[in-house]
Amino acid sequence: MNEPKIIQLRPGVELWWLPTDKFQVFRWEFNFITPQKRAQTTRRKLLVNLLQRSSKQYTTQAQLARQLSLLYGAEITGKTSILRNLNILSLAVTAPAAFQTTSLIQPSLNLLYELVAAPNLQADHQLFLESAFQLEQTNLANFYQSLQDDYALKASLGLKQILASADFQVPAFGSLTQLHQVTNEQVSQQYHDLMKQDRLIMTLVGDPNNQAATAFLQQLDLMTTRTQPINLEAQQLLIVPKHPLCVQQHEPIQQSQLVMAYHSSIKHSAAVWQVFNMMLGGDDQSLLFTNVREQKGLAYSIYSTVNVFEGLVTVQAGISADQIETAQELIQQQITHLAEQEDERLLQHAQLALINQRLIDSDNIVHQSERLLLKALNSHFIWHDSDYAQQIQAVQLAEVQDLAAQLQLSAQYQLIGDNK
Amino acid sequence: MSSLEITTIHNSANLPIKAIIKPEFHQTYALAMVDFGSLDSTITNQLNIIPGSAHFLEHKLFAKPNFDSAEAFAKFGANSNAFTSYTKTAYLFQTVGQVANNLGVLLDLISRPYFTEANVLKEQKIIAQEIQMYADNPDWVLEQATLNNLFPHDPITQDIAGTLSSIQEITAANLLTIYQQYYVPSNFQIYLAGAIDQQNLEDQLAEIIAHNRAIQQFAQRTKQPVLRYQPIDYPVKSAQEIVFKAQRPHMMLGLRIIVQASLSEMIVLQNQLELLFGLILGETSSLRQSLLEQHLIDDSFGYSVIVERKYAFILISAETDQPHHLGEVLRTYLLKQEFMAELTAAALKMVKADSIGSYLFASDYMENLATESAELAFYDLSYEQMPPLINQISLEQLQALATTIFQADNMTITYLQPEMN
Repeated sequence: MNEPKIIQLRPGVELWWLPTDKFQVFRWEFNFITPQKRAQTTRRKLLVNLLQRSSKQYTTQAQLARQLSLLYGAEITGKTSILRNLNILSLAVTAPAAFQTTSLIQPSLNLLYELVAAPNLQADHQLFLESAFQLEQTNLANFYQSLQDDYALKASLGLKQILASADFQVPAFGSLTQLHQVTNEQVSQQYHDLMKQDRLIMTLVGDPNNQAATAFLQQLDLMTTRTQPINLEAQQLLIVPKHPLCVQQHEPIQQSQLVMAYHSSIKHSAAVWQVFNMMLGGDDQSLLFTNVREQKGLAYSIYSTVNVFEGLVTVQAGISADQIETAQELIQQQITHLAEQEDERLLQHAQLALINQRLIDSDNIVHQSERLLLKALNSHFIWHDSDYAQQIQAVQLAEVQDLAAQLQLSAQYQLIGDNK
Repeated sequence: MSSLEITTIHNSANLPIKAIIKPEFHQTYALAMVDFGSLDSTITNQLNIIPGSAHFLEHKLFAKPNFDSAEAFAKFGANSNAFTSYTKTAYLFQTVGQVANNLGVLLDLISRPYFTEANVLKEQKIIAQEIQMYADNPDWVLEQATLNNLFPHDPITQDIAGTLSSIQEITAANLLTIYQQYYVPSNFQIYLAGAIDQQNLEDQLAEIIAHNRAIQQFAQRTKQPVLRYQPIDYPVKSAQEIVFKAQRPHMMLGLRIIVQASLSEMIVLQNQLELLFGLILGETSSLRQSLLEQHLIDDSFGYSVIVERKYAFILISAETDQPHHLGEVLRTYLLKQEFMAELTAAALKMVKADSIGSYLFASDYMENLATESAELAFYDLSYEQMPPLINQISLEQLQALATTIFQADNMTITYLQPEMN
């Protein structure tokens, strides 16, 4: 794999560039980074929605959509995410690099910069156009309401609420409660702060012949020096209770959701966590899949996920209400199996699956873009696939067993379906 | 566009295996797709296909004596999966290396059914959970109701997974009979995309087939399956109100497209419909912008163009606080052809560019390449033929299409009101 090129434009503004010719498309992303603060979470989400939808020149979604169509279906994507202590607002263009002999990189980049640097503000350049602001506010409110129909997501968020510390109680996409209090003034201020103070890490995947990249950097006058150092740091995102907490809610639905979180206070490497997670519930060879779904037929959907920084593994299953206790016992049995049994076959499968998944992810431009950002934020992030493979292969069964043996149930959330 | 040339993978069993070779990628994605899906349910003297059978078979075909095919894939480092649609069932794997071995597992999977009463009983529980998962989803409920009105008494209205009661009726004997009827080489397309060494693959495949009697026997099978090509001719029901647990009201407008066309002409029609709806209801359209500004729609608004065999229909849906008003606006817009101003040469050029662009994007995704190539092959078309096909679509064709398809008799609207607690 190529090494990324790093161009420091000015303090606090840098480009991480992977000049690969692997893809038919290219992707440039602006990532504005600030310390995560609860009060600002929904403001930033609303801001990125405003930025990706219209601008000074393209004042409606329809006008912007026409430009994107003419660029052979270029896509603008915006999102906010929380990574440890940081809130990251990302705005990207992914577009075909060329059609026949015509390069599309420069016009696509110009469009992206238009959205970032010349948003849909009122004539005094202070507040967003009120109609645009209200449109996005309504859109976001509707989105929050609709999320309540996604019961698996509701259960997952329910579990997070039990454990999250104050600054992380609100998910990165925000909340209706906060949205009701957000004003145009606050979101506009957020924009002006972002342009002046947020650390800016841009990532580029593609443009191997530098048709546009360095020339585009020279256009970015408005990305001025940012003096405040903003770095990825350890942060306590969770408050692990002394005794396991259980929250139960009822809904008139057919299928119930069970979410269980286990915590280890002893540090393990990311590789050990990932191997453990794959063995427990990472794919169709995992213990949860084979024993809870295939053997017992208790669940169609059951899987585990891991938060390496927090030392937390979460198991989620869609099951019948009358099987919750059975499922809880079975889930615990799988963790006990990993603590007590010498399952070399499953270990080897998990290692192979993780290494292959990493290579498959390398075939995806969005993953490559995310890796550039992670590397920019964390110099220890494993860049080369071969190094990643080595770390995974080095994991010993005894390490997985230790981890499994140390896990304690911290919390669970049950969404009980009362409708049969 | 990089080369999307289709290479035939020669094999002693003469199985229809094709590849799109992309050495710049790590992975190889492969699928075996059979022309048999949920709407191929029927009762004849020879065959009783219970609703949900195609999907059940898809789940159960992984079972083999003493092992599961998913384990076999995993041994060679592949992840595997399968899916069932209205007219197709597909079995797939994604791997880095070990392409021949995994292809051997895939061919063995489709060659060797192993249905027992015990394994069928176990699967009923799992599929019951799957059915219950969808049953709580208002979007799914809305779509099922709309299909019921668009195609009354037609098997397309049956849930692909069946119902809690229909899956109880499925037996090992049923599944075997269905398998024997439909799982024949002439009814399959097998495609790979990604990192493939053709010579190496063919050499190893020869060895694999030579040692696998099930694959050899499968390759000899020559039944002629009976497929359902077009809908049962029943009038469309014009509207329905349903009440369901949801946060907001929903609406869905369904439009049935009546066609007389060959299979390959259906793909032309699909692309014409995509361009037409892109112009009149896509993100670039004036109506959509107007509906947004009136707060009649939001990001949940969208439409799908569905063409499978000779079934063709459009579904337009939204969550909205004014479902009846929105339904009426859309109905009038389409029936009175208020969209004609959108049908201009410049606008067509724009949506064509967008559509061609989607093929540029898709060529970086091996899953897309393999899946779409397999589907198109059933219509005697290839992936590479799509951009020129799109380019050839004229404004006059779209105008003519627009004047014929928007008829009140072909249209239905379903309104979903949230249940009051």
